[in-house]
Amino acid sequence: MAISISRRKGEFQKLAIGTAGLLVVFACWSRLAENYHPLILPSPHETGKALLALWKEGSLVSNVLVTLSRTLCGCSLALFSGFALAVLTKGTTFWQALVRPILTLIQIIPPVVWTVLAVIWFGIADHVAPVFLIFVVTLPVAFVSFFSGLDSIDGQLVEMAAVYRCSRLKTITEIYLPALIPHFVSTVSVGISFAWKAAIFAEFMGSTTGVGFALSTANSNLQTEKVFAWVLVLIAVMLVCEYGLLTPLRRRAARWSA
Amino acid sequence: MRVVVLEYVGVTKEFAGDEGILQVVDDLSLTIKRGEIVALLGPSGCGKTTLLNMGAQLLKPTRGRVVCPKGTRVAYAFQEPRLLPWKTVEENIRFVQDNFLPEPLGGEIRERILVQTQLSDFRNAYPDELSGGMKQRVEIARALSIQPDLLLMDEPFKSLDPALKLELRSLLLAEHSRQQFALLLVTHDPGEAVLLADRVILLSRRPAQIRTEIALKAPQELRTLADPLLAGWLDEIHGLMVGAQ
Repeated sequence: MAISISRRKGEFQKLAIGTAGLLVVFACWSRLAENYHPLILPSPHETGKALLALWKEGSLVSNVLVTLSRTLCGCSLALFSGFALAVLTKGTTFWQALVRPILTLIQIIPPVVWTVLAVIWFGIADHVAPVFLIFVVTLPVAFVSFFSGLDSIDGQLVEMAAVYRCSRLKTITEIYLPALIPHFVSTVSVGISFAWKAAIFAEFMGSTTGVGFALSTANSNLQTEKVFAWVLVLIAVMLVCEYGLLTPLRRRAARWSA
Repeated sequence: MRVVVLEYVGVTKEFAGDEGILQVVDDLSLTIKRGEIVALLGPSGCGKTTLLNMGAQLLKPTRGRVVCPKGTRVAYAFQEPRLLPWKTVEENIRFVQDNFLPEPLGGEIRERILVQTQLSDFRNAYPDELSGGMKQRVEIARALSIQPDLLLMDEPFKSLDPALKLELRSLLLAEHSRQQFALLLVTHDPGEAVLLADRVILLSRRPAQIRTEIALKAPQELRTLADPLLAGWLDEIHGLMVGAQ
């Protein structure tokens, strides 16, 4: 009891310090904006107005939805393939020797190259280029994380299950899968943030919809307040994702990592 | 004629290591029948756990055979408790019980054993909330709860305090006379061996061979270390162990 109170107190303190820091940043922004043209540094007020306008014309919601759906699509493809590749390569040196260098190669090539290639190959009109980039960026991360997850499975528990005649299916569902849950959650966390950034980047470079495209349009039209408004949207989406989805998920998964 | 539940026939076990082949068990033969309590006593690192693992069919002998008749229900209390961290005490027990016993019966047995191992207040606790000694009790409770034909135990009372050791020993004996399973127990504590076993098998240093076998004929419930008979057995065993050095 005492421990949980003091821990909560510590968390509250951290939260207070963090909020104070953000407020300082915000104050600096307001103060600086007074000295500059809105084209260079729009004030919080102008940014807020731009944000409201985006909301009213509907482009905020529609663009966020497009980017989110691309992120989810590319990210789940990458998670699924990463998991399959990890399982496939696990026991066999042949597949491991084959797959690992290819994934390293994919990882070494900078995302901008993949984006350029994706635009050349798939054009800019549809979803394929962003989804492709998200997939390519997230896949190696997912693979490595799942691979180490499989490594961490406790062979002693599997032996125990064998002595007590647990079926193959029971061993998989009751030992392998629960043991992988913490890795799955951490993979999803890392994967989603990678995928989200990749989505914005790809849309910025070569797409006609989505938050990244809206950013790029605002940029080329010299609507700096809109750029700022979109940045606030990006931050908001990631915060919602982190505290609305990933933190509760991690908390639930903590039981499994004992 | 009592049924044989486990038989080692000319068993040799070798492991391939960095420094060549390591022989752990050398041409060992041993038969364990239903209802018997057999203690394997030997210096640490002599291959006792390897013998148990072969009995549980987790390892195959390099030469010879380990025969456990089909349908023999084997339970194994490992030296370090092997509990699923994401399941509670009771769920851990059910996890293995469900493979052998239908539920109303399984529940009754589980209940009895949880009470006897003083775990009923902790049935909903997760392993990481338990002390080392409590985890070991869960390990033993789980093994007893499937009504085994053969119970393998690897230093089962190692990290328990003396009072609890005594209590769990009598619980084990009570369950043994109720269920009449065969118990193959590995220990390096001669006192534990003479308190529990019908037969004490004295093993050599690695590679393990049977040096001698001592049959102990006295009802376990009446044995205490103060008993002159036990003191005599202990002296005999100590003498043999010193001779082995």
